[in-house]
Amino acid sequence: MTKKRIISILVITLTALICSTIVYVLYNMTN
Amino acid sequence: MKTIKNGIFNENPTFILMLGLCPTLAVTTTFEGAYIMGLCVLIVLLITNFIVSIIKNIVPDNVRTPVYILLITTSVTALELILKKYVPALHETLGIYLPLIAVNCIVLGRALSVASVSSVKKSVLDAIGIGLGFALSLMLIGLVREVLGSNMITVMDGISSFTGYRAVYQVLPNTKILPITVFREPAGAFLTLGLLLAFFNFLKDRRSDVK
Repeated sequence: MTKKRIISILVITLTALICSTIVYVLYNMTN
Repeated sequence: MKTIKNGIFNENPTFILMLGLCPTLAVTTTFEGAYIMGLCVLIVLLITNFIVSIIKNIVPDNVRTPVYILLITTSVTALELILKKYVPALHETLGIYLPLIAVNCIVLGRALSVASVSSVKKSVLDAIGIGLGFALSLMLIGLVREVLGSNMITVMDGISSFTGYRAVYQVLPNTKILPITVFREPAGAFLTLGLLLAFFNFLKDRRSDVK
């Protein structure tokens, strides 16, 4: 796997992780 | 200021770019629904354009679209959860069209074409311009449809439990012409949009003829 592909996978995984954490925290705060 | 003016007039999302027509046609039965929807799109646009312009150098080109979609859906979900908790009346007024902002092509379109290649300041100004342009065009369609279709102007009704007072006005009290009920129906939305588009194109043509 090329370095560029690894960075792409890392970026999208990290974004998904951060976004889901934000939604999870907000959901727990509002419910 | 020029960027904001450009978003409202030269690149108006509804009348020039013809983007985001689903909520434009669906929620404009009342003036209230129209401006609330416009406000929500403005908030989502501001958040996503701001974040996208900050992270634009970190995100590789081949995963730009999925990353931006994730950001948009997160901001829409956050907005929905906050509205549901603190302003439930507003949440009920918009219904299914609130989560549908996530698939509104204006938001992804501006993130990809403007925010991912511009500075933070320009992206935020563009979001304000496009958001205001969208909100104003929705308000115009909502106003025309409600006046013609119901002979009323609803400024605050669904959200009256939040604001504390109700503001619903009758336009012409003693008339037999209004209401023209077709304007309340989905067909009325297409009719209003078509007529307003024709009117704006007529004005544009006349201005270019004068020049």
